Amino acid sequence: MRTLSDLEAAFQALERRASAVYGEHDLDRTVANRRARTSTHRRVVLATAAAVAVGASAAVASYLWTENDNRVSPAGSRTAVCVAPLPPQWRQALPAHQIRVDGQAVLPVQVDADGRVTVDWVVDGVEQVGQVGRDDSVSKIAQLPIPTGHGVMSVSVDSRSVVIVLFRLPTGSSGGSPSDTDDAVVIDRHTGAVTHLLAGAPVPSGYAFGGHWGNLVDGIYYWAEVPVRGDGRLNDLLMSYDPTDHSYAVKARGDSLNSNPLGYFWDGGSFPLMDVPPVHPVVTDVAQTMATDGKSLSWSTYDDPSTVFWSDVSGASRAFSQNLMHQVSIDGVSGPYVFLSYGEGDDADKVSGSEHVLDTRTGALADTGVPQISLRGMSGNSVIAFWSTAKTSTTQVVNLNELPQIDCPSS
Amino acid sequence: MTVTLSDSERGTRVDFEEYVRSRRGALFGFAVVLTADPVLAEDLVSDVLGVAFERWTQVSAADHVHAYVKRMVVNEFLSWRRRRARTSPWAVPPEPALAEVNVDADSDDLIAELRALPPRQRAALVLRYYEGMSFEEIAALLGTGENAVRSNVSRALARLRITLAGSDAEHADSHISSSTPEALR
Repeated sequence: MRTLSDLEAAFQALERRASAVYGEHDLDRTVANRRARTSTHRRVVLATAAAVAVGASAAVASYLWTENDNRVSPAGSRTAVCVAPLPPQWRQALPAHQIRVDGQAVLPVQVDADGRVTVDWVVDGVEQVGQVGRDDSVSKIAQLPIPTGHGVMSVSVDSRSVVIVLFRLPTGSSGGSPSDTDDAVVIDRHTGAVTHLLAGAPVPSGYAFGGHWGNLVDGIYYWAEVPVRGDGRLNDLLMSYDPTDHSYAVKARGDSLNSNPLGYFWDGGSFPLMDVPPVHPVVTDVAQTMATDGKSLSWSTYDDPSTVFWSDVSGASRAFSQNLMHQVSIDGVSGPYVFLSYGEGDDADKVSGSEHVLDTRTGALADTGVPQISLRGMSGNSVIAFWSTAKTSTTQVVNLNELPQIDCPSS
Repeated sequence: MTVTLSDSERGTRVDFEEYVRSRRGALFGFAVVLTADPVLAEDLVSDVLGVAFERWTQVSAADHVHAYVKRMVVNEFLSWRRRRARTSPWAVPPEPALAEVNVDADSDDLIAELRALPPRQRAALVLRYYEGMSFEEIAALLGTGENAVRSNVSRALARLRITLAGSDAEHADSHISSSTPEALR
């Protein structure tokens, strides 16, 4: 058995890793209520290797299996992973179709089955939401003058509504109540009518708008209200707004409200946003990362962060693992393709430098060569939008249906 | 997006920048212990500071600004992977430096096991035994109940096979028996 001294030694080892990056001086400014402990900090020469690409030496993969929680490790087939080169057609397709509107980069919101990408951008202080076709034609969906001192946090779109979440830029030290600092504007795509979501929301005092938790699903907008400054006496609230009749509802109250693409969850309960098979519980404890295109799911678990699980909504599931990957982060799924990033080799601190794609039909894992990316709005028929997180932001659209499957190299 | 700042906004920005200068290292150290991963920690702190800047009026009005931002770090950690896709494009972190330090094998094993803990258990453990916070304080910070915190800490200790007996008796929590985590369910 270990003791708390072992735990403190581990914390101190982590501190040393941090101090090697920032220096002890800064780290020593931690809060006063921290428990005093033996200082054994050492400055250590550090190596800077920010991102390491998958090496050719990893071409021969071996496989690692661990005992999994049976709630998230379905008894489906287990496909061995191999490291494969990215097919030439993929290499050509990835940079082929880049979107710019009004001469500037845009942020993709979602993509439909025909490859039309909904995007947003700003022109002269006016938020623009539009759709870009595969021929680069642009049709405007909605626009909203951004109030002075505000910025746009997120945009959600469905066939009826556009929801734009605003945040207030800092304006002084006096401040206001947190509920005054944000707004969410619902625009009717057909009539242009604008509704300020929070103005009519029946939220008790003491709560702040959790704009990050917004989801527009089946015509209903969901969001979270969280207690200000951690008031432990209050539960988090899951709220909803129906634009058809302008009605609000408190859908749930609970502690530690959070969400993944399948729904909201909290201590002891959940509220699904999608119909999924029972094998995929909408709870935080069993899914470390999760992505879905509406028809396919992919996730990894806390218990086994080196394994990638994939399933379609019928419940058929597969699992993939190999000893190259640590701390897998599922960044997106589109049909049979899972896009992921991960720590590398024996040292999980080494994060793979570029996005990888796993073809779940063959178990082939290929390096896309694209810097780790944010994926948006992948549709069920395998159309995908990229936005690079590199300094030069780029929106790219790739129709995966037009690309060959990725195969393992023949031995 | 180009943002033009007024004089008052510039003043607030100066306040924010001073906070970042004085506290970013501390936040990073806390985030490294919380995540057990310097690269994730760098992303986490960058994301949180981006949001803190956007909401600096609200943040700076808090009674204890640094504690408030640390709560943001914890909350962001607990939901970070889900949010990362939306927030990261606006707050591209600097290229993180990977630290290579001499760490004894026992600590390395324990760090690996810490990484494998569910985030809420890890957060509760770090706040309790690194930050030295009470269960009540942790519950308030996480916006959850004390029993949930005790349960998370107990389960984490059991999973790491850490006993509270012997030389650590002075740190022991009378409410927790490391051998009976299931009893708290």
